[in-house]
Amino acid sequence: MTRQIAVFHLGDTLLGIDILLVKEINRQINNQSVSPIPDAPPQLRGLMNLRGRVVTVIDLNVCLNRPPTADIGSARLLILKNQSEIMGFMAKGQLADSAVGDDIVGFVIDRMDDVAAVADDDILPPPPHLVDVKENLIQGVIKRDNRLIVLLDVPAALAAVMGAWEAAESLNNGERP
Amino acid sequence: MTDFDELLPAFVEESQQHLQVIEPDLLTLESSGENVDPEMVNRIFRSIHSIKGASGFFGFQNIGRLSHVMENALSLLRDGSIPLTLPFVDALLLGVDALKSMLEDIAGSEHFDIETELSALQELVDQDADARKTVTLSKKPVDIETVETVPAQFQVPQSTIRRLVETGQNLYAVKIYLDHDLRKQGRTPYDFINAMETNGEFIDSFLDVESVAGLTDCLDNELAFDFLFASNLLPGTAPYALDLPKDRVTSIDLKAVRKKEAAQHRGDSAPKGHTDTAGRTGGRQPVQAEEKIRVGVGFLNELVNLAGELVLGRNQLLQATLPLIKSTPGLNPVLQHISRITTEMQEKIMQLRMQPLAMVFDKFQRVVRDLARKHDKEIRLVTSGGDVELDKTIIEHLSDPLTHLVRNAVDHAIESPREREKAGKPRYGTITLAAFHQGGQVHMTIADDGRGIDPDFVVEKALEKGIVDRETAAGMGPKDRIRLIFRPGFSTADKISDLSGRGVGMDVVLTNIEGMGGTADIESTAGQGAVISLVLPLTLAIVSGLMIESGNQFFIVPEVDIDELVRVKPDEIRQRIDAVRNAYVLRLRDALLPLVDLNRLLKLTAGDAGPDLIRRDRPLRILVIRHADFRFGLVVDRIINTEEIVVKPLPRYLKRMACFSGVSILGNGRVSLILDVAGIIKKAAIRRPEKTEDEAARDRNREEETSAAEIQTLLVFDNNTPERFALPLELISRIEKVAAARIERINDTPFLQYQGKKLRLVFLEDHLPVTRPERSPDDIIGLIVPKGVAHPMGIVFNEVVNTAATAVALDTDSIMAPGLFGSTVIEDRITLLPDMYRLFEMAAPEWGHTRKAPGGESGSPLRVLLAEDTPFFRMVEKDYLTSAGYEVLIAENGRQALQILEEEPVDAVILDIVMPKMTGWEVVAAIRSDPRLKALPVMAVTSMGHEGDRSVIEKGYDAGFDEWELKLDKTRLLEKLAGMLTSANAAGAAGDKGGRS
Repeated sequence: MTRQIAVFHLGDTLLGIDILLVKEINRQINNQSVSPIPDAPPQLRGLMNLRGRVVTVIDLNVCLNRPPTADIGSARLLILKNQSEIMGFMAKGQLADSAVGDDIVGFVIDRMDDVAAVADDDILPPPPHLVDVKENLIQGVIKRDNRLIVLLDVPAALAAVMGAWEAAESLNNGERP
Repeated sequence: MTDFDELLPAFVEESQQHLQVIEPDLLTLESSGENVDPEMVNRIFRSIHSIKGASGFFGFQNIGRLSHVMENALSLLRDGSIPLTLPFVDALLLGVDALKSMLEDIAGSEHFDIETELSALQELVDQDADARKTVTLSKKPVDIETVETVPAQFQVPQSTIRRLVETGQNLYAVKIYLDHDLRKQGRTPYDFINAMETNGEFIDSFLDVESVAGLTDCLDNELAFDFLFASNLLPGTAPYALDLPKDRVTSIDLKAVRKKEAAQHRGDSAPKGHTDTAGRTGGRQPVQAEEKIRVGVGFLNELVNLAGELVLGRNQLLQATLPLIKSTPGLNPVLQHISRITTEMQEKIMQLRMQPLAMVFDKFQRVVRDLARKHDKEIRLVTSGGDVELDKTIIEHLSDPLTHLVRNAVDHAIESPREREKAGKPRYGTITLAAFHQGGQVHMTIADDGRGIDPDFVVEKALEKGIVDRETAAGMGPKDRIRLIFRPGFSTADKISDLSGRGVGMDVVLTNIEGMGGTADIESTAGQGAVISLVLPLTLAIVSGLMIESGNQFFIVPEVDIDELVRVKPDEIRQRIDAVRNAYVLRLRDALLPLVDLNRLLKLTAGDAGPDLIRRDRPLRILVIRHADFRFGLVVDRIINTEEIVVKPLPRYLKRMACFSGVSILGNGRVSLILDVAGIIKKAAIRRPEKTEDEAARDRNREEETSAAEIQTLLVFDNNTPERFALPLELISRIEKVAAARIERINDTPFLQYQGKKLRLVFLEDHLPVTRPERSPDDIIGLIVPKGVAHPMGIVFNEVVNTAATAVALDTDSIMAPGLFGSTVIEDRITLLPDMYRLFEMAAPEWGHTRKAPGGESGSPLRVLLAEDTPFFRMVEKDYLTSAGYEVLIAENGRQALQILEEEPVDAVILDIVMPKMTGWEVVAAIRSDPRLKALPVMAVTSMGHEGDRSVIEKGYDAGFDEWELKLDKTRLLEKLAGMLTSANAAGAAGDKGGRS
């Protein structure tokens, strides 16, 4: 089966996710439009109004264990579809069963690259020591024109954001005598 | 895929609706005892009948069989052949339950074991021998050419045939094809059955099961159903009435059937005399089908979202076009129009989600009945306020906690009949569920007259479980002690004994209620019962919120949580804020409130937590937050304004954040978090400062005073004499303490320099019949500065005694004098309520405070309609108006106001905004759309639209109010009223005058 992969840049890495998961790319993010969430784990960058709906803005850099995005003003927001929007694809077998939740979520990315058509066979297991990307968030890698595209496991990334609370809380508790 | 996919959900839903109606009806029947209401029996009968008929369509034999027997039983009851007994109701309720469970799992309904239910019902039916005889009717195939000629057979009770013949009805066999006659015509089986019920009576239905092998088989075949239909209609018109082709309806010769049947059963006993049956059948009202369409909740929510977006877009549009209005003629009216329509549309859409509380209340009749029987208790459930409407979400979330509370009352609170008689109470216990509107919220009480809760027992238990320490417990009043049952961990695995009555999972109830933004409280007198009161928001979707700023971020605090706003100037910080251990407390009148700094709590200031509260060089902005009976101060950077906000649920990634309850999109398009008061208390881990012995004693007294209804917060103070005085807190702007030496006298009139103004002082003893205190220049005196008066004035007093939240039972007879509203009793002391504005008039008549009513037509006084739900304000406003020479008509809510307007001519209307039944918004909309009233001057007098909140006030003018006035400034109120009447008069002289005609 061939899948369409949306490829984007984040730091020095090329990342890709199934295009069926992508709702839109938004350029309106900046410190004005994104309201920060006080006292939240750094993965949660803030909340944004997308035509009357609330988008949770997620700093993908933090999820991948890198320093937080310095300036979101020059970044783009890759907005994902929510569960009900991908149900149809899953029912038709075009998309593997994925739990993405009912909320609308956007990943902070540097910029979009291209869309790549990828056959299942093209997806390779991740190399053992992939530079600075958390291993459990990777579905595999694709080689394209001498470039390496890291296929992101979106449900796992979202689950990691949910799990960030435990980490933050245990840190907090540790701080307190 | 097939017909069933489309029709089945409709069948299930409609059947469930029928069952919902049946249950309360059955219970009402049971309680009515001997006097069976035939109309009610008929209604139940019709419902069961419809279910039976429709189940035939789908070949649900179990549902069909059960409803058939239930129907038989009901028809016997209707005919008076069997009496209404307890086993009868039991059997029918069992049947209803079985039908419910089968409908819930409709696919598996054929596998349900319903033999118990069937035999219980059959026994009832068998009491009447007559009913067992059924007549077999054969009829010829309906359409010889097209259908396989299977003779269909109907089972009809003999009594029915007799009744039909007696009433001269015609009998028809009707055949319909599911696909052809219904689905393709866009009709549901219920539509068809309704058509039959409107035109006559549907007797029996029949699915030709033999021709189809099973459910899957029927899906692909053209299914045919046979109905037996009795009607007064003539054979020629019956097909038209049923909207069917002629060949589907065949007439059956009833007389022949009867003759045949008579021949078969010759020698049977003479027919029973049920002559009145005919009358009843003939008198039956046709089913009134109100025009309704069904809309999915998902669709509705989408609509709510869109309306929210529209409001947002409207706000942005107004902001963006503001600079253009002056240069663009005609733009402003268009914008105002769009603005108004948007608001109205959003309100209407929100109303779509409102459902009556009866949805929850009704099911408790059954719960209480069943539980009471199980425990051999006699319990009566009384409900009131079932018509109070709440948002669907709240209704749904309310079901569990209410069930819990009602069950608790039945299981633990109400004693056995013997115990009750011993205690001198009636044998049967009473549980009361009540709901009513007050102050824009819904209040509910769950009361019982059971054994009540012993506070000492609760404390003992709480000590045992380590919920409180002995010291704290000792300082608690009885009410606080009982409230311990709300604490988590109070009742866990080991059951609380019946002595305590309650306590099972009350913390869960509290959590549920608080989750909806409500509060719960409990009061009890041992031996006499307990009352649990809940306060709930009307809707979760739109709330009025105060926008605040802290650390350069905006947050929303729901207005219902806010008691008052306090500003502490830098030079007052040291006097008003104390450090207790590591926390700060605010002195507010005589109370100490713990302070929470939002900046620190949410770590909003980068690096260090910002300057310490005490060392601030800017004024402190403090919101006094009330949560149930607990108050604390929330320190914020800035208070922006109030806004009606659309609440959206918190994204799941934020669910773990204790301090937020939801999100909202502000008028400026930004997303803002809504603060959750309960979460803040938890996160900040604040406790109330320990009370002094005095305060504790006072609390205990206060508890005995208050009742749930009509609470007014009063500032109680004294004048260094034995008398006590009280003023409504809402009328007071601030309280100051100054040295008496600072008082200056100009021509014997006392003044005080205060904030750059010359404040005129009023001594109570100069104007009221009260004891004169000894005064010395060394005194420190207190000053009460009222809200918004034209000239700066202050009332001198000695000390604040406390604040009392109490239901003011105003006595206007015993002690009366000019300058007094009257007296009331607070904490066992007679307390005088001065009429501040009257006092000012008396003290400074030269200032000519109030404007008298403009002259009415032909010298009669002008009439003002005053709509206000809080009795205290009603009284005060009425007093203001009458003193200025108006004639006042009173309405206690919006609906009443409109009724009065229908009947009585008035010259002006004063409306409160937040009222039960109909809000001020709705009333003004109705007035403005009524051609006779549209020119009537209307004024809002409300506590909405505080300092600087222009948006609400502008909304008010948009909605059609001529004036907007805050509670409760007499001078301005009368000024505006007179102004409004004068300009209306001028307009009226020119054109047609509205209202009084």
